[in-house]
Amino acid sequence: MRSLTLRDPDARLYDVDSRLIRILPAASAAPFRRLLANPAVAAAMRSGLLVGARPLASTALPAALAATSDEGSEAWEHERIATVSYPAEWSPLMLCDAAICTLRVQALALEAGAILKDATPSNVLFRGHEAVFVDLPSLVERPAGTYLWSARAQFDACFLMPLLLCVERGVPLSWSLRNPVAGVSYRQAARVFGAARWFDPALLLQVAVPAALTADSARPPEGKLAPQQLANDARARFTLQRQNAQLMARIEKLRRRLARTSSVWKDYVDTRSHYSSADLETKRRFVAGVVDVVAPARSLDIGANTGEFSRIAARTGDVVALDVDPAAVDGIHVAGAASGNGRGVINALVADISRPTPAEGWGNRESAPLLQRLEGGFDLVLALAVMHHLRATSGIPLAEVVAQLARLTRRALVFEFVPLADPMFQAISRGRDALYGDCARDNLEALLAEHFVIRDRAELPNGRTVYHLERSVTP
Amino acid sequence: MTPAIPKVLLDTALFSARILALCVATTATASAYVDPGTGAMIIQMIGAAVAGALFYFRSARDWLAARFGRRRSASATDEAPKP
Repeated sequence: MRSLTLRDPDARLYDVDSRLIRILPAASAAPFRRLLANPAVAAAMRSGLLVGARPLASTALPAALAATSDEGSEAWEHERIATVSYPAEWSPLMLCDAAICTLRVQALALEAGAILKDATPSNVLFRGHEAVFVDLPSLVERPAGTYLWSARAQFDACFLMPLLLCVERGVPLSWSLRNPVAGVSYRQAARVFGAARWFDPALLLQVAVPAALTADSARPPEGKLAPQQLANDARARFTLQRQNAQLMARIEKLRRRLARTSSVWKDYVDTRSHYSSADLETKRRFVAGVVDVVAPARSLDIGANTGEFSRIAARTGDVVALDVDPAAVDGIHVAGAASGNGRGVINALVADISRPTPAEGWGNRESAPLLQRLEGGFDLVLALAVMHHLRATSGIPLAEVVAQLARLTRRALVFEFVPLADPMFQAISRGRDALYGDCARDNLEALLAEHFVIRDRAELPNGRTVYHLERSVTP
Repeated sequence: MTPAIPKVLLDTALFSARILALCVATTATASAYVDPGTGAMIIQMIGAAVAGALFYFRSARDWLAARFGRRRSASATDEAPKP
């Protein structure tokens, strides 16, 4: 049994033999049950906007949890989302979709007499390209007359400011959302935008004015700033709904701008010159053949680029597609939303396998490191056109690259050998060929033989070779 | 010959440039107790005042629609050509 939550006493979540079980203390159990019984909330759960949850009778509670369950507490079992990702691993369009998901849940909550008590992207996970709101205890009953959203500052700090900084100044989400609960404050954003914030109407209202109004010292709110309630609850709800609609419009405007950037990137990759159509066709047919043979239930595509090989792997199961370029991940995310993903879903993430996301949070135990989430979890790993990047750009010895790939796959690996003479390898090595003596084909095959058996290979017209490898010892 | 810039103008320009540089370059006071919620709360209160006006306007509009809208639709039915 493993506890997955720490900070919220109303949301204790445990992983018991791969089952996700939430224990609600007596005080919050009844309101939670009432909320989930609301028809609109139940419909949102069926549509996939909210993560699935079903009540668990005390007799069905795993023995390991019996000690954590108090008098009057209630247990719920959640649907498990296959790929856990963190906001710093998302592309900008994914953060937009997580924001829209949060605002849709807030709209739903307001209709159902509830409100979101927090608004961090950590409340959202991705099922393929679809954002799913997973932290159901964030929905709490709204006291009548409440017209201020206490989570508004957090929403702005964790969604709006990172998106504005990304769109206007190119600040990557991997920087701004390193702490996905605190995000970027108005003042921090104001300092990045500088004087320009006073002249751009959007920045003036969203950054400059809130930053200027930020108090220098936190004191209990008093006087006119003390939380007040309106006598007319319909007006209070209308005020909150209007605020929600305005935030939705702002996020959708940012999303449209980002989607335009993403399409520019797509035009660029469509004109890439280092592959002829014969190279690509040979590679596609080879990967499709491996997918037919292996029929992977879960695949990992490292350096997914346009995601075309992820889509081939998705014919038989789910795929996690990694790329260091947020624009590439945006492209895969949008393609998944536009066309569906075949039989499986594709979870695209911004990640550098040579510098994977570390463990974070209290005691380094609140978020799991990337490799812990990935290792041993895939039937097929695709490592296409990444050898030269890992070896030369990141400086990882080839033996380490092969050993890491062996830890990631349970069964099969498709590896593309890029010879040192390849123009793309040369572009990265910049004349330092002597450093990459381990990149000879013979040496690669000897390293692969330590973990894999070569099942098949295809020579591409451009001098590269694609291998189908099978793990010689199943981990 | 370069025309001489009056000293007053030069001083004023330099002073303005210094003030602008100070405004842009100075950093806000770092404090572990800065309250980021105040700005959001005041913005929401201003928004609530606007929303309040809109709410009562819409309520009045709905009330008027309820009073006179039905009569209009009833008369429209009355005026419909009969087969």
